[in-house]
Amino acid sequence: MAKHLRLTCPNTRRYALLRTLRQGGAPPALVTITLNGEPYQVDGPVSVSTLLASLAIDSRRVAVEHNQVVVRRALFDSTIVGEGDAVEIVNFVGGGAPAGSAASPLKIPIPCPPLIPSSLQAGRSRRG
Amino acid sequence: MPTPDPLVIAGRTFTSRLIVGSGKYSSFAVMAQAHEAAGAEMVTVAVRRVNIHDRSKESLLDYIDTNRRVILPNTAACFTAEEAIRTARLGREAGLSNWVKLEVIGDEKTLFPDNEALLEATRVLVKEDFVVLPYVIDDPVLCRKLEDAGAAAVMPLGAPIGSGLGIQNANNLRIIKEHARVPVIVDAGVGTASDAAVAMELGADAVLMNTAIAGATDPIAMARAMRLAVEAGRLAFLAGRIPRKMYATASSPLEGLVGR
Repeated sequence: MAKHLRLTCPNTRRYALLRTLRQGGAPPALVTITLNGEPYQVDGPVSVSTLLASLAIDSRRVAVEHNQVVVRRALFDSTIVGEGDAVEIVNFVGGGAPAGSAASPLKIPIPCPPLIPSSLQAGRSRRG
Repeated sequence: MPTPDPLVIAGRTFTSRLIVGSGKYSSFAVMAQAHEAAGAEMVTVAVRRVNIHDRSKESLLDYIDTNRRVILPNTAACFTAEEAIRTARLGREAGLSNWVKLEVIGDEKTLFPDNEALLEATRVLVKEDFVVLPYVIDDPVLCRKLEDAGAAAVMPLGAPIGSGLGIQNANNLRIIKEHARVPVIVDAGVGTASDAAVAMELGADAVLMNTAIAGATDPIAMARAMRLAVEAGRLAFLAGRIPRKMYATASSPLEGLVGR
């Protein structure tokens, strides 16, 4: 089966980290994550909720993917983003048809006859 | 009083048979007015990365009355089944609805769908309890396969997306409708009101459009025109048109003419 069909696999390292943080473990340091495809530095490891808050993003309006797995809204607080992780934050934008390159013309031009054929127009002027 | 003639998709009832997009409008305010004029009960939206650097932009959702209109996230511009599946999952999480307008594009220039990938993505998403509305080529065989895969409707194109060419494939659409056990929604190709009416007269259950409204000189007026055209086309379909004939058939009695 293709890679994307895999279900969420719990990352034990991350759960351990979460426990450490809850128990007042080591203070966060600067970590580099990939945020929407770009490198991004943040005080971390951080929860998804904290990351969204630091970006001034209303968590009710977005969906978040953490290392290619969608994070349920209920798990924003408990999902921890650490060094090297990939995060995608998406929202809804206007759409219906992709902009794509559909605007560029096709190679075979579309025949578009004039509403009044030129033969008729010519005939009328001769008679007139 | 007209007979109630609701559109039912996956058990959900709609009064309006005109589904609209939310792209290419000059402003969100114009879009909201166009949606109102269209009487739309379903609006399709795209799923895209949040702009991390500029948070000042208004949110599209502030301009869609979600109490009256169903949000239909789409996977527009996805070129693989994997991309489309990821986008659908994110759309579900952002919108808290399991409906998706599934697009897997196979060609940049025509924006025609990738049939194989579309079928694969449909199968995966149906298993994940999505209500899948696939944008599909006007192929009755593929439409049947999508239906067998669990699609809640099929959405064949009338012409390439954004082309405004009108219904180029009336016979295929008619055959698709004849065989389909799920609603058939003509998605893409409409240029003006008469095109929407033609689609409905062919028996389509609904029409989905974006550019024809958003790109019109007066989108709000065009939205109203489309609403009327979809209603007129539906009524004409239900009323049953007369057969086409080669020659004239007199409408007035031939007897009792003066001077004969």
